[in-house]
Amino acid sequence: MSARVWFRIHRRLFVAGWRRGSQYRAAALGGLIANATFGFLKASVLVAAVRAGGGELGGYDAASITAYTWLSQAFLGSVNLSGRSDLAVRMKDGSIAVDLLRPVDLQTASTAQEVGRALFALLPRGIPLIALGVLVGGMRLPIDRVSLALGALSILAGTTLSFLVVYLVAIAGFWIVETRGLQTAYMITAHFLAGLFVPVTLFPGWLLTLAWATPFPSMLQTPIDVVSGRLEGLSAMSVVAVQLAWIAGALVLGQLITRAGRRRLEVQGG
Amino acid sequence: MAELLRPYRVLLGARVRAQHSYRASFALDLVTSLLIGLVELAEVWVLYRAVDGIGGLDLTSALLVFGLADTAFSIADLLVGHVDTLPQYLRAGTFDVFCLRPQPLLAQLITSDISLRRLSRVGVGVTVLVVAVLANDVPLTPENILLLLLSLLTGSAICIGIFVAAAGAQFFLIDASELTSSRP
Repeated sequence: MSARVWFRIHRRLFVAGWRRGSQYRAAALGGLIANATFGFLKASVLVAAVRAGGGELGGYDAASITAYTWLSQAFLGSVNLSGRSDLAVRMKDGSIAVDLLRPVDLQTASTAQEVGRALFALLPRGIPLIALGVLVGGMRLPIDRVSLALGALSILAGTTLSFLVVYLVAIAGFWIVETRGLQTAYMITAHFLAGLFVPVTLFPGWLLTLAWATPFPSMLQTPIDVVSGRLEGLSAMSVVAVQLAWIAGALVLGQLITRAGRRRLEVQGG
Repeated sequence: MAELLRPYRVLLGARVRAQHSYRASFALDLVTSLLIGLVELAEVWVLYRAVDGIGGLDLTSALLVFGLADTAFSIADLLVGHVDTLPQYLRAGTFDVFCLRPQPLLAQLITSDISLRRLSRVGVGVTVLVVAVLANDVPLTPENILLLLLSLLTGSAICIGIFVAAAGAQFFLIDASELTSSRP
């Protein structure tokens, strides 16, 4: 398959996922209201913590902690921190056998669709939450061309990385069929280490090192830091490079495990 | 009365036995539920490492609030938390089965499961509560003990009420079920 054909197929799968995401309007509205409610809760706790710290908390002031809060809520609809995926369901009910018959790569094809669907969520959930942060929280974002481009790349990379790691969770099903326990373990770890409730930068030294040894901060904390302008120039570029390195690693690992798993696959039911 | 409650008792007993029969899965569920409780505690701790007090509460007094709130919430979650599967029943059409049985819908839904795996999270809440009561030098007078127990009872009742109300809203939300989600 030539690179052009590969790209065309995956672009179509991405668009199909995007369209699928656009169909669930009520779900998007429900998610938006839940994310906004938690945004207000998180913002009030974290701003109170900054005030208690005399206007400064681990390098954050009131304005930057507000930006952190609303951006984390805005990206939550796109980045997969729940560990759930369609593939895990297909793995369990046996439809995976059909997927493996298709002349496309299981990993890249399923990830392209999931990322397409997830990025659509930026329109009904991400943008309104950022607008809310700007209007209510007085959040400011850098809007020069370089920061915007780097921010967009970082969101795309963070979302893609989350789905590539969730893919690894799903294909553990080649061996253990039911991956619900693993999905929950992923969710707990990801929520904490990606910096969903508290910025990773507030962690004590050893926990910070532990967090950065995993791909989780690259999923959420990095896009937040780059988009909010907390990291600029070279330091922003280097964290985006770390994201890309994790993506490469997850891609290779996924390919190897899929190859080994194909030989193990036992389809349940009939 | 005893005769009236018998079907529910039998049902709940069956659920409890069913959960024990998959031992490995049940043990894993207990561990993940424990982890959820511990990670929530860790988040409070991370925040308090950076500051001495938030809103007039230092870490030990915040732990008392955490212990009370977490215990009350996890008891409610254990007893009725599974009512949030209602949208799945509605969408799949399996809800009709509940309507055919000669018992009240809510009572059936609540007894359709009991999430014993959440016991370990209740354990985290209770442990934090006990540690916090001791660390804060709360005088263990009869009044204080009564207040503590009453807080847990009413706190759980409030959470149960919210769980049930949120489940009721699902009849109208269905696809927008995330609206009442207790996740960020």
